Amino acid sequence: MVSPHGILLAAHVISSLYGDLCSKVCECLLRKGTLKLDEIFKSTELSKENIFNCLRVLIHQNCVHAFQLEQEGGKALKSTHYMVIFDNIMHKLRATKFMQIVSEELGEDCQGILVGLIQHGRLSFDQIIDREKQKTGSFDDQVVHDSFRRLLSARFIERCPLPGPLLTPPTDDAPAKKRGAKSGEITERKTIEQLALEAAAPSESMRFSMDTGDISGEKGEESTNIPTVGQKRKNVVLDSDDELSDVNRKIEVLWRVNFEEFLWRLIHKACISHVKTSINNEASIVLSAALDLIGQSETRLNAENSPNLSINDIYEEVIKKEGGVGMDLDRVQTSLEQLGCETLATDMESYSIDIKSFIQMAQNQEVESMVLKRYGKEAYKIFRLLSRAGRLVETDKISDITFVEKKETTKILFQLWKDGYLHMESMAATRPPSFHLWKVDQKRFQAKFLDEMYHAVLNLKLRITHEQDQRKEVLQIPKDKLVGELRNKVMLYRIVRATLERSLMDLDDAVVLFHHF
Amino acid sequence: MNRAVVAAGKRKRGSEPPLTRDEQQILDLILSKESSGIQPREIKYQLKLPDPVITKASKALLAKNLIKEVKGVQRGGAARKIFMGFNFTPSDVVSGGIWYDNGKIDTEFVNGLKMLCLSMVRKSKVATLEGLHKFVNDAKVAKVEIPKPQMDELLTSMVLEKELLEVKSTGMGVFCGIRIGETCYKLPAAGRGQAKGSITGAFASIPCGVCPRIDVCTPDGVISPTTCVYFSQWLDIKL
Repeated sequence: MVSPHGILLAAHVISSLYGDLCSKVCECLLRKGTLKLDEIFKSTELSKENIFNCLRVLIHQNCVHAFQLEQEGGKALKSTHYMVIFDNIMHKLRATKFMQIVSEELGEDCQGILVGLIQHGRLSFDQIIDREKQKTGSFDDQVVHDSFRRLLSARFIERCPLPGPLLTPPTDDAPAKKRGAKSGEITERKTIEQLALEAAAPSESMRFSMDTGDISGEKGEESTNIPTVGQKRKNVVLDSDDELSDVNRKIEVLWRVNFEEFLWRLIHKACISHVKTSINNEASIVLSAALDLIGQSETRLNAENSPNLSINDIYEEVIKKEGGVGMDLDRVQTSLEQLGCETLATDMESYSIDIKSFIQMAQNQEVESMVLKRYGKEAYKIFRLLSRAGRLVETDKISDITFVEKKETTKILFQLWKDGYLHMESMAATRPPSFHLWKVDQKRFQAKFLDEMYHAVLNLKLRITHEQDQRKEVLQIPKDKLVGELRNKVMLYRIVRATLERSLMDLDDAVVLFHHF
Repeated sequence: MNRAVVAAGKRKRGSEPPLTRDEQQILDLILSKESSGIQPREIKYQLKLPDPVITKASKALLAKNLIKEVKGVQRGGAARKIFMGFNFTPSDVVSGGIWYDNGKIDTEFVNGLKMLCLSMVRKSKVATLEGLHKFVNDAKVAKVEIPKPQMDELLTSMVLEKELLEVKSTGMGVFCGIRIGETCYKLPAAGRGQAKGSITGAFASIPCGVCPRIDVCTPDGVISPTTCVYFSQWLDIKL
């Protein structure tokens, strides 16, 4: 479930990119969850035609996914459902970062194709070619072809998901959680939205393949859930919006930006930047090399894994890096120890790289610096103590460990609790005063912190718009007429805007760390 | 000690007016608590006596030097007045231990010890609890010997403040001679002890991150990003 300010931010992003109607439909889906067309109609009070057009735009922009669900009472009956993909809306904010990554790694030609896909959401290869033709006078088909292949092999772009597969509704009597008989592990049941996305995702082999064979046939062989084109036509169509979930079926293969790959790069960057400031430059080079090695494998986003890397492999990668040329094996080893990487019991030459711990370190720094600045040094110590303890601690004990006066400790603890950062439990004593026990409820805390960050992102975006509106008239004056006071006003606006945008980008780096882990 | 005090009480009774029944009852209770002492409200609760009786009796006992008033360490935000037998020394629970002076943290003493620890860690690059404990006691900065658990408390506090970093010995390099896996303390890499968490995160770098009113901030509300004074101060850039 998306947090309240996450919803407001997503609605704002959609409104600024695709208009208020799209934003209304999107907000409705974010607040109420997956809905059918009739349900959206009832909630938004927009005309069906408007809703239909908005959904078309949102699906094309990868912000909404349509899927078909068998209705109870007969297999021939089905209904189309629309689910909003919040993450993809947030990725719209990161477009400039994605473009910069491609520009740095693959060059301007590749960046041009990526820009097209960011703007249009989904494009066929022919549409990409046409766009490049229109854009540049001197057009070389081979250059576009090569750039496209490079983007694909770097996994920056991917094949779009298949049109709405037909799913069977989950049975109500099935338990929400089931315990593994032997292991005792709790297995969460997948939501219908997760199942829909999984069913629509192209197979891993086809996802990054340029082979433009019949996509529905290819997936149909793998999954019995998805009817073939012929089968589908025999079904009784109940919804007039059936076409939307069928949007790609009759057209050629469509391509889109692979956000997952960019996300990995952004996390990679955030961890390295944290290590650089909190440990040193050499440790950041070693981490960067290790993450590059992991990035070449399949374990990347699965932060639960701690891949093992040999020190020789890391060293070879380190010396390829800027600043890593002069480093020797001893220095690499020292940096790995500073990073907290442990050698394997079976192989002293291999190190376990715990990606999750780096993400956790970066998250802690973000949170703690907020507590320090907002509540002061004593609160910072108290928060760090409770955060590290991970259990309930009594007020007096907190005071003793942190060397903060009892009275002050109580005041700080209640303030943090009132603001929703701490969990408190009161133990009734035989007579007053009762004891208070405190802890940081990580799950609740992270949700609140993330919501505040969404709030801040929204505020920065609104302030950028406000600054622009304030100087609307000055900004319309032609450059050659900008002199004296007017020129200063424009220059000031540019500095303010740059400050706000830089802060927005930095804050978004932190949002990525918290949202995905 | 208890007996000695009682004996003293009895001796004095010869020349001074004898204790009333309430005074004797209160004295017995106070003496039974030994070095932990007792708060007036606890006396009231246990003996079911009214406040004026307790106040009057305790004044009389204080005047006769049979009991003394000790300022206990503040608990739960309230300063504590504690009565204790005249010859008892307040326990650590009452006084707060070596870090407390007159019911309050002895900041000067604590900070002095912290500086001492930092200077040793700076000199030796890494230090263990044992090493620092010996160093501090050898320096004889305190009137009493600082026990090891208290030294551990001090180091934990310094770790929480990011003045020190807790690491495990690898037995190699700077950890040479230190048992593998033993907890050691070193200066944080960034700022070498001066940073103290000064690396500001992206959220804390903008007004919203430190805003105490963020919960009431809305796009069209009284507090909004367009009217926010913190934003205006932040963006008040002069050319």
